[in-house]
Amino acid sequence: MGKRILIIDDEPHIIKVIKSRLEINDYEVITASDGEEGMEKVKTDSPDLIVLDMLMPKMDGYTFVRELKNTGKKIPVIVLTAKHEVEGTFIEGEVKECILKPFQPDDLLNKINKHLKA
Amino acid sequence: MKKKRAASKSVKDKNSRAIARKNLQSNKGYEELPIQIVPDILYEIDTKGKFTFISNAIKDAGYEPVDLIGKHFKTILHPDDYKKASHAHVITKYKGRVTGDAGAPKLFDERRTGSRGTKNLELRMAIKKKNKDEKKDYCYVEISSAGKWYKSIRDHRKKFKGTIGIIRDITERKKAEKILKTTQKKLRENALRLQKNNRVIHKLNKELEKKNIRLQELDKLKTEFISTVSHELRTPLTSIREGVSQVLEGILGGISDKQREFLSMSLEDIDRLGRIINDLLDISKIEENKIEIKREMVDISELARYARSTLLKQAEDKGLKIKEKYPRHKTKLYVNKDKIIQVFINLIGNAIKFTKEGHITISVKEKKDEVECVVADTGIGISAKNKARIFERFHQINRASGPGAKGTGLGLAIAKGIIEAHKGSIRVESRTKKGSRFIFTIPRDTKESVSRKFVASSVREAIKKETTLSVLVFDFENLDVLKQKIGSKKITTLVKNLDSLVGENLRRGDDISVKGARAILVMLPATGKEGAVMVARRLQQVLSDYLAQERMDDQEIMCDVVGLPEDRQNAEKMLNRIDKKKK
Repeated sequence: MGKRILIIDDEPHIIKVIKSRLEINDYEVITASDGEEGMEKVKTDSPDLIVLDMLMPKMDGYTFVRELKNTGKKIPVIVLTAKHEVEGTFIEGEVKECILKPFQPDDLLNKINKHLKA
Repeated sequence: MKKKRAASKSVKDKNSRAIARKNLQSNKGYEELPIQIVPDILYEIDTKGKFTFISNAIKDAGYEPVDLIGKHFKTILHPDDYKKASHAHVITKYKGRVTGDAGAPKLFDERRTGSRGTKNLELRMAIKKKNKDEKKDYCYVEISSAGKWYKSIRDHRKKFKGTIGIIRDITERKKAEKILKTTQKKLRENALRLQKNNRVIHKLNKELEKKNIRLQELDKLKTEFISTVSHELRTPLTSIREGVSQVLEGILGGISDKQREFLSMSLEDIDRLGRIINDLLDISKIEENKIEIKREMVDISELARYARSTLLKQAEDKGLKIKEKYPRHKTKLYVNKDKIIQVFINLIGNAIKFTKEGHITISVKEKKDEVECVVADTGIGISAKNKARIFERFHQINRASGPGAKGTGLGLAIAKGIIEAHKGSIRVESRTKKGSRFIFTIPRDTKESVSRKFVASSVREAIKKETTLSVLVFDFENLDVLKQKIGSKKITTLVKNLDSLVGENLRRGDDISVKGARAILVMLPATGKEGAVMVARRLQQVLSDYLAQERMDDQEIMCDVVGLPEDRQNAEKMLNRIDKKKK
């Protein structure tokens, strides 16, 4: 089995299609529907990379990035957001990339690959 | 006895009047009395109110003094004012015993003396018209008078002898008073009108204020709305796109050719929808003047070349050539690189779309104060009617059919917005069936002059409007030592690299960095001092890291922070400082 990727998004449809895309490309996928659940999964499942949505109930992406920084864990994060103003500007903590939804699958896969290798 | 006395008195009176008249007629001495030259009219009347003397000044009113002797005082009064001059009327103004016939005009029957006399009683005096053309038959006068008494030899009682008085023409004063009155009336009316106008203005002002607030709210709502809508549209579009994409790729199982055709059509339009959302956001940003001022010095030909390269395949697929004409040397302009590339792409994309055969020509030409860029084609052209509306939003003409991405109808509106945000202009020349030429110009401005102007004006405006704005200045601690160590040329390179680093690390579009010869100035609009200090620390860290990497960790980067409005005194100093360092 390949590397383990955690998808955090409150939209089940989006989780489903990304999961499908990543699994075809031989990644192991775990999912969470908000930041809080995401933090749990970080602790219990130690993912190699996180694909993170920004606007979510309970704990949003911004808070998640801060919380992750506090744990000291160096897990690369790729932000996948529908917020135009976040695109390319939110590079903080472990956030390596900011991709705007809807995304081009090759773009996402290339970026995941790049940061898993690094 | 009583009767006899009365008769003798009457005879005596008659005699005295006759003597008086005789005196006035004949006696030159009377004429020469000093009182004759007083401009006011002096008079004397007897107990019956009849003149025994009147001075020559009465002549001005058309009377001959001689004619008035023996006549009653009311002869010279305006009939409407008899009542005013009546004994009772006058007396009631004063305290004391009222005597005589209350109804008759008897101002002249002053059985009082001294301060108890009549003072300044205003009346109209009848004027004897010299000719018929004279309009007025009266003038205003003011009369003061007092009684004349004598002590009877017989019973030693004081007896009333008549009245002596003075008549003063107050026509001029009355005129002045009248003017004053009308003026006062007008002033009052004007004041009232002004008050009314003021109320109206006040009301309008309030309405304007309300409307202004409402507009601001609406503007904010609009921005939020567009941002929210685009977010809400993008989320479902993401799963649709990815779903369609995976089915189309056959990842989820085999599909027929027909299915593939339809799914790829869907995918194309999903991407088009994505572009429309982006364009809409761009348009709303341009309208809000929020187009990022992330400007840098770039060779404009390079941007045109890049845009051409991204569209070359599309053109070649249609059998079109894209010719280029650039100046030999670099044409550096201080622009937002990505936005200008977007303008070229929009224009070249349109040219490809509307040209069936022939070629497209991109050219860059340097002019004195500006750079002119042209994208020309040999396509279908634009009619004069459409030319006027071509830069409007969603104004699509002759929608191109066939292969290739479809437009959003916003491309030219965005191009216009971007060029105008650079203080340039865009226009089109076209002939139907011959082709079109889109020409845009951008003013030449060195980065330094633009930035200095921009920063200085922003700082001044922030001071004036008391808005929040922060300025950071980074420089080396011991510049002179460093200069000796590595030379000024290297310092220039170093500052340049540090400036790029600062630029890369600024997060918001409105933030701007200005490179001086030996210092870097960063402007953070709408950032308070606290926030600015945080940004300063972060940037300082980035710069120190870079220096360490360059093995110059002994160099320290200094940073001054000025936060407006609180540090307004230091702002000018700081601007001067960066100016000086540039020289």
